[in-house]
Amino acid sequence: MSERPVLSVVLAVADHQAEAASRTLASLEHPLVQPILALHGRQPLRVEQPPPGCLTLQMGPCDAATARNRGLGAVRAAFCLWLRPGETLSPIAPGVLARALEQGGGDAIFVPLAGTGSAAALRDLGDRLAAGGGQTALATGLWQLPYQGIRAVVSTERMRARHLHFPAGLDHSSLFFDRAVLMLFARVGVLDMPVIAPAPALAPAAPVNWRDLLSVIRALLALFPRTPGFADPALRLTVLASLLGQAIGVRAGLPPAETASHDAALRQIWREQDPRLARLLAPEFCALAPDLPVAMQRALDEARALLAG
Amino acid sequence: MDADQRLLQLRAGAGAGSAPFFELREDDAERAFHLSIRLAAGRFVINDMQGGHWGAEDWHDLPPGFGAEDPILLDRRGRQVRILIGGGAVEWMIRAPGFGARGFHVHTEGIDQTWIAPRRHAGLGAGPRLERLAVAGCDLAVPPGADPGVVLRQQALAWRHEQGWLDALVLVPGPDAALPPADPPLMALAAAGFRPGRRVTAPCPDALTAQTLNAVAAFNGIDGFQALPPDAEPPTPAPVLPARPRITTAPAPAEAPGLEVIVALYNTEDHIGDCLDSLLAGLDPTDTSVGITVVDDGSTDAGPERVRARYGGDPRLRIVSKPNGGCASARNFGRRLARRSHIAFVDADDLVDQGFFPALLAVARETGADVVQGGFARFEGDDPTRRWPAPADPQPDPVADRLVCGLMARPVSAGALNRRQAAIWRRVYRRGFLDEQDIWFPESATAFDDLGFEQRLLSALDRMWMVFGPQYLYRQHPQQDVRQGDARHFNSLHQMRLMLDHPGGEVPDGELVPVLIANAAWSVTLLEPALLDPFLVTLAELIARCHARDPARDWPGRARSAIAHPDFAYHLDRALAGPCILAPVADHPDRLRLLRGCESLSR
Repeated sequence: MSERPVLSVVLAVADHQAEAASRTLASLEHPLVQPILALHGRQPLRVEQPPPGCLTLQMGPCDAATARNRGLGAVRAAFCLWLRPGETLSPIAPGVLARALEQGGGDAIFVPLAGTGSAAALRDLGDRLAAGGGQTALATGLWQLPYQGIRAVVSTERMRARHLHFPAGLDHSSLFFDRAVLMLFARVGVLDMPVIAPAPALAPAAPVNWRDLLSVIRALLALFPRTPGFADPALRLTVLASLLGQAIGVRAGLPPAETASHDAALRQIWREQDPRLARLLAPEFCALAPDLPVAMQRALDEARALLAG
Repeated sequence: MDADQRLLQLRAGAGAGSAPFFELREDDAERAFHLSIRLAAGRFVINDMQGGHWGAEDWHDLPPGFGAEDPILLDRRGRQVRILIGGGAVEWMIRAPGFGARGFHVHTEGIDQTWIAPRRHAGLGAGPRLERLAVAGCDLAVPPGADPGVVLRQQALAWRHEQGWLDALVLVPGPDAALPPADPPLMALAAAGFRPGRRVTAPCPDALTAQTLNAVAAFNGIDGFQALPPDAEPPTPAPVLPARPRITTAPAPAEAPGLEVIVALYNTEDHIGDCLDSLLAGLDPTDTSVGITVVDDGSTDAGPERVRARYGGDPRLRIVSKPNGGCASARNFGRRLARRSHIAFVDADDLVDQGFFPALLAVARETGADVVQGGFARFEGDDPTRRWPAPADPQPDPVADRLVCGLMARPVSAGALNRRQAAIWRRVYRRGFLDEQDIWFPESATAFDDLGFEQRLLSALDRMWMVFGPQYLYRQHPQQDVRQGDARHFNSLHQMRLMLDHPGGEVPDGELVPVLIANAAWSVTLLEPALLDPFLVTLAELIARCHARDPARDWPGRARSAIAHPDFAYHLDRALAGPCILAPVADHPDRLRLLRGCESLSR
């Protein structure tokens, strides 16, 4: 195994994230890892004792998606990964990832975040792949997992060839990035080792920006029919259930005054969908994806009621 | 090689010289996988036989120096076979339609094969050179010479896939708290791996286990872990290890009176010399109140070298390089570096009349204005004497103008300025004002970034001083961003969306929408035909959003009048039928490229 960086890790740091990002940066001190910091706070930030090979991009204030895009643009290693401030890479992760990436290769490898329960699910998916399940079955399984519990380690070359990016100026841009990986890339692998620890939840979560969430879902639904996986009905139904589940899930926490706006926006998205996708909402097509988790089936039911009304 | 035995180690030793081979064979005529090692030729070959006919051969070079005793790892998962050899990997997909239905057997000649172990990670290659302890999904390498012992091996076996405990441990909130002791100690080691800077202690049943665990921790780079033998004293609490690299807020830079001129440079080698000459002309070499910072935004031409060669010894000028990020990023980067009270942004292909910026700076100092603007003229090609004035610019007024620092000048209302022609480069700004108003160039835009800056500035400003005298000279040439018909035009739509989305609407719609319409009307005349439709769709959605916010202004009517393309009315009608609160699908060049790139995917 070479000791050159095989993995660039992009970390966007805004105001008030310096302390959390410091912990993340400490976990990236490894010869196989090239940390890339995109500092985009209003206050100027600086890095003391940066790890060897650390690249620091000083930016003006901007959104996290724009900062991550700048970091991705500076990636030099063959594979790249993005982290949130406070997330840490396990010390044993670089070696494991390097082996997986150098010898397993592929367009992307999905890894679990510790504490999210995704590791066991990824192990099952890996076993199914090993037993002869194809890439479409793997993608279907990955769409069934919450996107917050898995993270894509992406081939830099493929990312650039496909113009993969975070949607600038939108919250929930990571939903777009990691799900677009599933849509765009033909050869995807999984690793069942939880190599990333999530950031400790020290502050209450910010209110969900549902307009941006729906905008991201809309962008993904516009992308999906253009990708090869759309041809698979089971995957199509799973993608639908996953994205509608996100859209429906946010509805519960909305003030009543905003619920109507949310529903109108979701209906707008629905009206513009490819009919081949939209018609799968009919109950008779549920049999296409018999393994759909109960929560996603319930989301389809709710979406059916909402969008028919 | 049955379903549970997927990883084999092969050696070509037994039959060296006679093309030893390895096969997955159903019968003599059906050989789903055939690997032949040609040591003498330095190659190995993969192919198969179906119905008695050999398929095409897939040739690969053996690693340099590869010998008969060197291992080849063979990993089969379903139809996928991976050959791991000398650090590289080759994949082969079994093609036989009914493979496995009748069963198969391994057939070899001249090959030694050894069953190793099932691999745990899909997508992982490599044979285990070192012994590994797997616990809670973590894979810990045991250093050479260390003996894990029976206890640790049993723990690894029992806790191999157990993650609940680990998950609970790594999610203990607070960055500085010590993690609670864990049982078994191997689990504690895995948990320590996830929290750099935290302390984890692990009481062990015997000294060998403690010694080995500490060696494994060190070998895997896990700090803060300590395994304790049974008779050890309880450890005294030690301060939590601080993270070595630290990201901190930098102190506010000291600010000296004067002007910093930021020149964003990207592949402008033909013009940068003329630009800098014009900026330096008439500047007193001993006067340190005006400095020039050239920000090389990852140029790939000789521009930066020319600047260094020609101006390297000039104390009034410095050049800094950064990875490419677009003009906005270069301007913001230069602003972060600036240490003077006032700032200006100049395009690397433009010129100024002698004394232009010192004059604006003098007026800014004299009047205390936040922004001072000079006149500008366009010129074509390389002849700045053939210039034509900017349309709709404020003109000298003998009644209203005042003599300030020897120049005719007067304050003009920001609202009276032409918003359609962003002219951020012919001004001097007080840096404190830009900071207080939080006005930056939008780095998500890789072109037309001055549009967002301009709109925010003019909305934050009551008035600026206009100086009549020396001019900024705006070069017109075929390579200008604004003359291209490509996806860069979507940057202007993207910035409009950002401003519409801003909480509270930092730029009033009444000022923003006319600019949006005017710029779009101009873009429609330039765009490549293939980009017109997504542009019109996106524009229609933005206009519909503006209409939803303020139906009384009849923005749709104004847009229909300005955008002559017949498809625009169609898209606008569709957009107006929706609630219009979502971001358009393709309002940024990146998204457009991604969507268009997919056309090749679905073929």
